[in-house]
Amino acid sequence: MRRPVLAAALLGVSTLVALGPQTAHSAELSAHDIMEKNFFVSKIKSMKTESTMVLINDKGQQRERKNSTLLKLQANGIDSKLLVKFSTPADIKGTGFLQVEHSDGDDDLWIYLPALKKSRRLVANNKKDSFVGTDFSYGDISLPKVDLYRHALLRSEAVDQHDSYVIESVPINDTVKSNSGYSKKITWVRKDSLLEAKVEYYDLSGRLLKTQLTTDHKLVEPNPPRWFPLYREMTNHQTGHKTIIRFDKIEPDVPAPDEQFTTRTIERE
Amino acid sequence: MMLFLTALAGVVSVAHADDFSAFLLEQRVSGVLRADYFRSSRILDGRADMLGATAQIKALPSLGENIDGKLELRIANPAIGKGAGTGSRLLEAYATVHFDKADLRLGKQIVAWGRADGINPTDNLTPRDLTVALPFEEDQRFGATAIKFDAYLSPNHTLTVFMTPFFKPAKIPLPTASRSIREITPARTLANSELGLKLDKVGEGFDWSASYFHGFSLLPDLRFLGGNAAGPVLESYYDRINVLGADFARNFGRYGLRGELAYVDTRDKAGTDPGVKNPYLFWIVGIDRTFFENLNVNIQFFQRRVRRHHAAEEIAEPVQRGIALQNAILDGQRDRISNGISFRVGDKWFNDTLEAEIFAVVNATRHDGFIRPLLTYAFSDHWKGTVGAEIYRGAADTQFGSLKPKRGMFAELRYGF
Repeated sequence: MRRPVLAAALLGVSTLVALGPQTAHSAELSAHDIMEKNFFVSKIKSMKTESTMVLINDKGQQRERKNSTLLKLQANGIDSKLLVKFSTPADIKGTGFLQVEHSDGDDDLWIYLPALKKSRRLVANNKKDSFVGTDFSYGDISLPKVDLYRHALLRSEAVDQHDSYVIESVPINDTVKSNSGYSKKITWVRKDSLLEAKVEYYDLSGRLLKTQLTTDHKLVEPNPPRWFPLYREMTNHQTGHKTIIRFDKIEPDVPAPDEQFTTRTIERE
Repeated sequence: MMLFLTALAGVVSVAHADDFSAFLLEQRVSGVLRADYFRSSRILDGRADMLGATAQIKALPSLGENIDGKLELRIANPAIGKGAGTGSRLLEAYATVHFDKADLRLGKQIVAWGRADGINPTDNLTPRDLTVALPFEEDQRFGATAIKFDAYLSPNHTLTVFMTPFFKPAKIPLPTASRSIREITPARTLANSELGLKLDKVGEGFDWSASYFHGFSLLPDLRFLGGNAAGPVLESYYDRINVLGADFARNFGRYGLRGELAYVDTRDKAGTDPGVKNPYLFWIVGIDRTFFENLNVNIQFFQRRVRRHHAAEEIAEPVQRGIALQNAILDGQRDRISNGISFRVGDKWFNDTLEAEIFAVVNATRHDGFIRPLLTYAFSDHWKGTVGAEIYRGAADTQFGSLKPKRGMFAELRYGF
């Protein structure tokens, strides 16, 4: 009950993650440069979304969550503010989530549970924590700083018919490794959008833990180019559980005044 | 039980119909059907094996461009086949007008104050029903008819004004012997209005509020009116209180620190009237942290300091002594200083389909306590099952020990739509 329904946030935050690339295409780009462009390509100024999140267990049984989100990039161009409201299923309907990112410190997080009738400040999340019961962790949806990993360009290959850089990222130290829960990541970064098309996550013992696929990349801001994937799928190979996020509607460049990103908004059922 | 489940299944099949679902969605209607079993009666009447059924429906209609409303109704029979009737309670029914930088809410509403976990000294505005035969803490709340005005002074600061002439007391479990005592509630007049003020700040790493409440105690006190041939004549009533409060929440890395404090002023400033609460200070502070992936642990320390305290046992006159003792137990005023600890640990597994929680409160001064383990499994997005128990410890003349007749396991099956 403490930290339950942030699920909607997933959608919103994944919004942050998914946003598209800068112009790229330079053959001289280093692995670090590519990952830095991949990081910034998801930084959209403002956007509203409506999405459906489907959680599928190893027996094929499905649970579904729908939510709407509003996000806004803060003045530093790195951190975002995110509002999420769940509309289904019934037991989480009306639940609201507010996140104000601080890349130089702990994020501010609040949750509003209709049954409790008040917003509650949450303890800053651990990057390896599951995001509201999904197969995404907070670190998967709110990308970590590029400098926290050593990046190596392994090769180029096509994913879903899109030529992509294949980059291996290894934590720079044990703390980063422990906090993320991953010993390494391998990212397929599309050369056209610089958005990740596929990511493999390896657990601390080096075994493949999860694979993320993103498709339906959409250019939402032309200058500089910012992209957003309308479909995300994360499969946990060790549990057989899978989470799909489908963005049913996105609306970029919407008014997003700071007054919107308050507990007043999430408390409005 | 079977009859109720059959009825549930009927409603479920309707609820699954596309047209009906579309209607619910359009009208922002949702609800829950619940079948509950409690080993012990919630009202200290000694009955056992209570099987209840509850239907709860909520609507959130839009009443205009800047006006919305809420209606939430509960219909329940807490003890089917044991003489309990089916009753209903309007939990909330209000309209909210949204202005640019303010909200005005009118109607029956629940207002919950306080940032501590589960124990909130500043939460004095709207009542709880501590006899409700449902398993979750939030099931106990119900609304009072009131006006609430929230002025948003900045994105971080809110000034709240709450006012009601319609005091609504808490409903508490009373021993059978106490039930014949006449209950006096304050007349519904402007002179008896309750007023709450709160300045609340959120954001920038530190949330806090300062509040003032002028109203009535949600919990009753007993007083002695005299004697007649049948014995002493008592009544329970709700006295005026003035509460100065404050709370805060702040994170330090992976640790969350929360605290709350209230100074409650009463009429009995000298502490000499056994029928009136003494003024007291009640504060609580605690930390919480999440370990591994979902294991959340919350520990709080609380203390109550009663001014001008006189032990009930020192009163020579037996009737007055009995009244003073009963009031002191209910109000947590057995001792001049009483300390306690609350503990909540919760975890989730299988992508949040299985949840477990243990909540415990221990009064260190009188060695009484309460523990409630809960286990909830989500069979699907609609169906959930819960099993749990309430266990009370302590002597019969202590706050939790006096509730021992309520102890026992419980279970619930619920369908949400």
